[in-house]
Amino acid sequence: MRIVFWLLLFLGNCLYSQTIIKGEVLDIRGKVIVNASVSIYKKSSSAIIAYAITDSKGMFAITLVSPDPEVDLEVRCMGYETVVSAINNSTQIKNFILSEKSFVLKEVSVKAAPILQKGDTLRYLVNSFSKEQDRSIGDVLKRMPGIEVLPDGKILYQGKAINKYYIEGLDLLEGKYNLANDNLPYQEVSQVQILENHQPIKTLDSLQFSDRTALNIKLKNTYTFTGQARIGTGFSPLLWDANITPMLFSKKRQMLTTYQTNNTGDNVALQLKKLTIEDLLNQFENNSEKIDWLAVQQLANPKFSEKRWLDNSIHLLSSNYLQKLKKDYELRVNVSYLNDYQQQKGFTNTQFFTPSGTIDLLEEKYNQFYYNSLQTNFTLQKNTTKNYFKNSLEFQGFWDSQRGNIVLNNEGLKQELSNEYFRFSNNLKSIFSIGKQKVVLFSYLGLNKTPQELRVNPGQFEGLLNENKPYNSVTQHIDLLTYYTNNSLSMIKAVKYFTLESKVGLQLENQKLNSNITTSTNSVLSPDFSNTLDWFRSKLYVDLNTQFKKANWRFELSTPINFHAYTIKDIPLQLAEAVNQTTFEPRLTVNYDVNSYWKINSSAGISNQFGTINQLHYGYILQNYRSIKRIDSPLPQSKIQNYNVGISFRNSVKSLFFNTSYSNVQSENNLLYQSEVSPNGAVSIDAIEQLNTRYSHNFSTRIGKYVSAFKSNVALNSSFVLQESQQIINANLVDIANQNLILGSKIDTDLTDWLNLEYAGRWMFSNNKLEELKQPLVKQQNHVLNLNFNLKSKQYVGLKTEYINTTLFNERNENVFADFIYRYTIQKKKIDFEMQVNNVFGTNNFETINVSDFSYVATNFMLRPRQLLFKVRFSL
Amino acid sequence: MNIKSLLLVIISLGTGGLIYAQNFPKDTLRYEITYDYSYQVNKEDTLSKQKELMALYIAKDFSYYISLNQKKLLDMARDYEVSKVLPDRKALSRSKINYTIVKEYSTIKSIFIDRIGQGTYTYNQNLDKFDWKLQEEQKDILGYNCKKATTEFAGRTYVAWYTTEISIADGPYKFRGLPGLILSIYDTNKHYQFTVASIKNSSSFCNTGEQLQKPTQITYEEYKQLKKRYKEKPSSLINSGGMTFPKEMLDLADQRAKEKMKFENNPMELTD
Repeated sequence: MRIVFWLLLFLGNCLYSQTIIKGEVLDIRGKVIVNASVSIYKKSSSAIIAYAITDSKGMFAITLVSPDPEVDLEVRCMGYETVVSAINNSTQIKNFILSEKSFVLKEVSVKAAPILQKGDTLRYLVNSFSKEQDRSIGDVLKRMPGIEVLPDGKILYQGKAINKYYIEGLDLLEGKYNLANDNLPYQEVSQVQILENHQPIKTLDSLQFSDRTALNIKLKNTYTFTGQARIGTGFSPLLWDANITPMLFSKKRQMLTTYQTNNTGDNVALQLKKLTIEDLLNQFENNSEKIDWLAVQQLANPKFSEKRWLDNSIHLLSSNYLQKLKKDYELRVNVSYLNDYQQQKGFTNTQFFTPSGTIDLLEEKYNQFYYNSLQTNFTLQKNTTKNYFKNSLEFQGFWDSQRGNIVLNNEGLKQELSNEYFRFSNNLKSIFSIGKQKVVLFSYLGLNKTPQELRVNPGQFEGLLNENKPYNSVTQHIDLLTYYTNNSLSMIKAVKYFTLESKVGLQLENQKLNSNITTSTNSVLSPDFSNTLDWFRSKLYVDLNTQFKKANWRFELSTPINFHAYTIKDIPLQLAEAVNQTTFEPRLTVNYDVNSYWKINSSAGISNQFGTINQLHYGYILQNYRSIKRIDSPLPQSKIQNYNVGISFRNSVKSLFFNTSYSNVQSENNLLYQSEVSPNGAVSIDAIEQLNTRYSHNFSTRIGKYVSAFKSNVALNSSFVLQESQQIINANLVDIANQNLILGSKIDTDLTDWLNLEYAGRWMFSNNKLEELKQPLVKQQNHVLNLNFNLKSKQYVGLKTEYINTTLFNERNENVFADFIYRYTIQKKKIDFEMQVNNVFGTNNFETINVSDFSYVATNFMLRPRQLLFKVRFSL
Repeated sequence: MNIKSLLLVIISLGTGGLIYAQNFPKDTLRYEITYDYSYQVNKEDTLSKQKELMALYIAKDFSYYISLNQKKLLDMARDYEVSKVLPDRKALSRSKINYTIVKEYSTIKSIFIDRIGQGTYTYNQNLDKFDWKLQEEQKDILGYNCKKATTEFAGRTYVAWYTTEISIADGPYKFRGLPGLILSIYDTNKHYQFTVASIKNSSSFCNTGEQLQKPTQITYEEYKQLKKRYKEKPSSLINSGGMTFPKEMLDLADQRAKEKMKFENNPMELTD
C-alpha cells in the first residue's frame, strides 16, 4: 500500500507541475496578522491539499501539487473574518486583508466516565448517577448499573450479595449497612467503589483469593460531619415520623448514631438487619438466629411495599462507634435498641387440598405484635498485612410478645404468646506467622436461651388433650437452653501457585429442651405432651483446602472429613437415639477469567445436613392453635449435591453488566413428613422413614446498562425455578412439582431536564402439580411508575403509582395505588419542606393468594388508609 | 523536597507570594483549553502511566502551556499576596509537570521555564518547526470535526487530530503549526498522549511572568546539561539552592535518583 502511495506521489510530481502561491495577510489598519492559516482545499471539498501559517511578517508561501485547474483558498485566523476565494492553480501572489470579528467558541468539556475501572476496582462517580430527588446514598446506589438493591436493602453486585460495606475502608456497621445507606446524604460521597475478589483479611490477601465483592463508600472529605434530621406529622390517625442521625467520619474515628420513630409504616427495623452473606452464614453455623418455636396464626403479608400495609409504632435507637487505637488496633462498639408495636387486621380463607377432597377454613384475624430488643457488640480488631486479630463479644435480648384474636367460623379464639430469646457469644479469630506459615486460631463460644409460652383460649384439640370435651384454655411452655462452641486451628502455606490450608477443629453442642402442655382442666397431662430432651452433638473435622492460582485460572478444592456424633435422649419418655457417622464433603470451585470482560465461575460439592432440635422431639408441641406436632423419628439426615455455573460480563466503559447462572441442588432425605389434616383444620405432623429426593433447578439472568447521553439506567432480569419433591398427605404419597418464573424490568430515565421517570415491572408465574394434576396457574404483575418533576431546582413534585394484578382461577384482582409528594427546598440552608399524600385512592384492603404444596390461602389484609403527612428535613 | 514544602518555605520566609519576571508576555486571555496528558515513564511497564491535567491558555499573541495544578498553586500564591492568609497545606496541589511553555506568535519565539532542583531556569528558542503530513481521515472530538495529520518529532512519530473550526495554529506541549487547533495528539506507541478535556472562552488576565522564584536565564545547551547533572546527581543542585543538608540525605537522594533514572527510561524527546 505504501509503495503504491509513493509511486502515485512520484507520478503526481512528474505529471503535475508545482505551483507556488505567496502572499501577505494584513488587517484593515495594515498591520500584519501572524499565525493565520492559509489553506488550499480541493474545489468544493473539505480536504486540505496544502497550507501555510503566516510568519512574523504576516507572509505565507504554499507549494502546491494538484491536477485541478481551480482550487479554493481559505484564510482563517481567530478573531478575524474568514476569507474564502476560488483561485486558479497557478503560481501567483495573493494578498488578503481581514476584518476583525470576535469569535465565541462552542464550549465543551469531557464528562468524566461514570464508571472507572482499575484492576479489580470499579469506581462509580456518584455525581453521574444522582438525581435531584435523591437524598441518601442508598437512593443513588439503586441507579448504578451492575448493582441491585433488594427491598430489604441487601446490595447485590452482579447478582451476588456483597461481603463488606466499608465507609472509607472501615467496617463500622458490619452487615447492618442499611443504617448508613439510608441516612448518609449522597452529597458527601464522591465515589462508590466495588472491590471485586475482595479478601477482607489483609494478611491473607496475596495468599487466599476470594470471589466475594465488597463495597466501599469514598467520601469527598477526609473529615466529614454529616447526617440528617427529619421531623414530620400527619393524620389520620395522628401520625409522626422523626429521624435524627448525626454521623462523623474521620481517619481515626467513625460514629453513627440514630434515633428514629414513626407510625407511618416505615419499617426502620430493617436497618438493624445483618445483610452481608458472611454474617448470615455465621448465624446459621452458630445457631445464633432467633427461632420462634411457637406462633400466633398470622396473616400472609401482601407482596408489595410494606409502607402500604404495615401498621407500626416504632422506636429505634442505635449507636455505632469505631476508634483507631495504638498499634493498628480498632475498637468498635455497636449498641441498638428497638421497640415496636404492630397490628394486623384481615381474614383468611384456607383450603387444604387432600386426595380425599378439600377442607375449608375461614378465619377473621386481629393480631398485635410487641417487639422489644437490645443488641450490643464490642469488637477489638487488628487487620494488618502482618497479622490479624479480631474478638467480638455480643449480647442480644429479645423481649417479644404477641397477641392474636381470631373469629373462626363465628367463634372467638384468643392466642397469647411470649417469645423471648437471649444470646451471649464470643468470637475470636487470630492469624499470625510462624516462619513462612500462617497460623489461624478460631474460637466461638455461644450461649442462648429461648423461653417461650403460648396460651390459646378456648382449648384446642379436645380429642387429644381433653377427652373430647370442650375446655377453657391450653398453654404450651417451652424452654430451650443451648451451649455451642466451635474451635479450630489451621496452618496456611503458599507453595508456588498453590496455597494449602490444613485445619482441625471441634464443634460441641449441648441443647436442653424442656416443654410441656397444660390445659385449664388438667395441669399434668400424660408424658406424651412434654419434652425433657437432652441433645448432645459433636463434630470433629479435618480439612485440607487447596487453592491454585495461575494466570486467569483459580481453583479451590476443599476436602473436609467430618466425624459426627449425636446422643439424643428423653429420659421420662424413655426414648433415645445415638448416631455416629463419618462424612466426606468435598467441594471444588473453578473460576476462569476469559478476558477483562468475561468471567466464568463454577462449583460442585457434596454436603451433609443433620436435623436440628426443632425437627426432632418425642413429645407433642403446640406450635400454633391449629398445629400440634410431635416428631418421634430417627434423626433427619440429608445428603446434598449441588452444582452451579455462572457467566458474567462487565464493561465499565460502556457501563454494561450482564450475568447468568444455573444451579442444581439435589437432596436425598431419609424422612418424609405426614401431615394429617383433621376436620377442624388442625394439622398433625408425623415423620415416616422413607428415602426421598428433592430436586431443584434454578436459572437466573440479569442485564444492566447505563446510557450517559440520556442519563438512563435500564435493567432486565429473569429467573426460573423448578422444584420436585414428594410429600405424604393423608397417608398417600404425593409427587409435587412447583414451577416459578419471574421476569423483571427497570428503567430510570430523564425525559427532560425537569422530568424524570422511574419504572419497575415484575411478572410472576407460578404453578404447581400434585401428582399429575395441574393446579391453576397463578399470575402476578407489579408495576411501579414514578414521575419526578424537578421544577426550578427548588421545587419537586413526585407522583408515585403502583399497579398490582393477580390472576388465579380466571379471577382477576387488580389494585392501583398512588402517592403524591410536594417538596420545597431552601438550598442555602439545606432544608426541605415536604407534603405527602399516601394512598390517594384510599384503597382499604387487599387480597393476596398463597398456594403452597397442599393448600390454597386467600388473605384479605387491611391496608393503611389515605394519609396526609408534613415533613421538614435538615442536613446536619 | 516537593513543591508543597517549597511553597510553604517561600511564603513563610516572607519573600512574599509571587515574583513577576520581566519580558514575559501578558494579556487578557481569549480561550482556555485543557488536555488530559498521559505519559508512560517506563518503556515496558504499561502500568507506569502517569496522568496530569494540562492547560493551554490562548491570548491574541501568545499561548501559555502549564499544568493545571501548578496554575492553581500560582493562583493560591497570588491570593496569599492579597489576603496574607496562609493556605491550608492540604489544599496545595502537587504538580508532576513542572515546566511551562510560552509560545509567542508575533516573534515566533518560545520561552521554556522549568524547575530543576530548587532553582527555576528559563531559556528562549525559536518555535519548533513541524513537517506535518495531512491525511484524509476525519473524526469527531467533543463535537468538533477533526482532521488527521502526522509528523516526526524528537524521535517519535505522532498522530494529531486538529480542527479547522478553531483556527489557532497551536496545540499542547511544543506542538503547533497545523491549520487549526490540535485537540488530540499521541505518538504511535501511545506512550505520550494528549487529549482535549475541555474548551472554554475566557476573559481573565494572564501574566506568564508570574513565578514562585525568579527564573535564571540560561541557554538551551546549558539547560540540557543542568537537567542531565540533576538526574545523575541531584545533590549537586540541592546545595546551590542556598540551604545546606546533611550528607547522608544527599547521598540518599542521589541513590534514589539513580534508581528513578533506571526506571524512567522512556523520555518524551528521544533526540534533540
